[in-house]
Amino acid sequence: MSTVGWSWSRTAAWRAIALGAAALGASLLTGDPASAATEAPRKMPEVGHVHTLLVNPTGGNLLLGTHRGLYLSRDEGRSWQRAEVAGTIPGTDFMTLAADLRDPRILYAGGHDLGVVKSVDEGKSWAPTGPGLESGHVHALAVAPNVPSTLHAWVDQDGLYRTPDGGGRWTRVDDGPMNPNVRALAQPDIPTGMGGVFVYAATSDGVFRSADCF
Amino acid sequence: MGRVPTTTTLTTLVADRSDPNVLFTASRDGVFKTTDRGLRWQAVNRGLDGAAIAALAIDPRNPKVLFAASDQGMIFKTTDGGASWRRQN
Repeated sequence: MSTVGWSWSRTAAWRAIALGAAALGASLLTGDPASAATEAPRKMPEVGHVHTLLVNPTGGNLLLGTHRGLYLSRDEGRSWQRAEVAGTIPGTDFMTLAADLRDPRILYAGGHDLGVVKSVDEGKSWAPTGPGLESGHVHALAVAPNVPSTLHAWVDQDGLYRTPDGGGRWTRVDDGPMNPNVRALAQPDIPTGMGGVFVYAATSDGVFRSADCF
Repeated sequence: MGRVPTTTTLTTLVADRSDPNVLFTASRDGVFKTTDRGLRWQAVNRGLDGAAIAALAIDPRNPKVLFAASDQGMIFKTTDGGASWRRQN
């Protein structure tokens, strides 16, 4: 397990108190598993806990990742139905979603016992990504803004991983911010001046950021 | 750097792809927005009715439109970049 010493700086600080339920981060995501939804719409999804939310950039449908799987709304959140997840994936506890905004067919998801899974058909079917993650507990994903085949993943109790090839392989790149309880990642298009962009992390102790180039 | 005006764990973080200065985060205390890359954060909670927010998503077709989900599945929508929210379900 390699560790590269990124420099994380706090963009905000505040008092942290314990929360009961885990409720994890959201990322932008495209894709529409509408054809896989089979149940009648309900006003509220039967969630354990909501973890992540996504807007389909082509149709505007919403995809909700929860402790009990994925849910779909075709009417801006007024009603929901469970989205069947086709394909062989190791779990249903979806903690994070991310999208390749240049190719709306390509979606990524991570979660507990799920690792990182990928869809190339707008969420209709999913398959595990390649090797390299130390555990299957992925709490956050972020797609690089200008190179969408590059993603970062936060593995709970472990660290930050990166793939250069859309999930073909993963490499551990950093321990992460000072507070390791990362709940979400984001990569706005903010150049570092060293050829990369910043990675932002939301934690139980504030927002941190680090350059992704090292 | 400024402080996010919350006392609880941040649950989500999303970036406005049309303006890299703008990010949103959230917690049990609501939604927070920065327009200066994280230097300063302000609450943007009008209409959220005290909901604990677990997830946010920006509509990439119109980044002024965001959706917020509470941890138990209430959905809120803003069409003005978080200035006001309306419950959807």
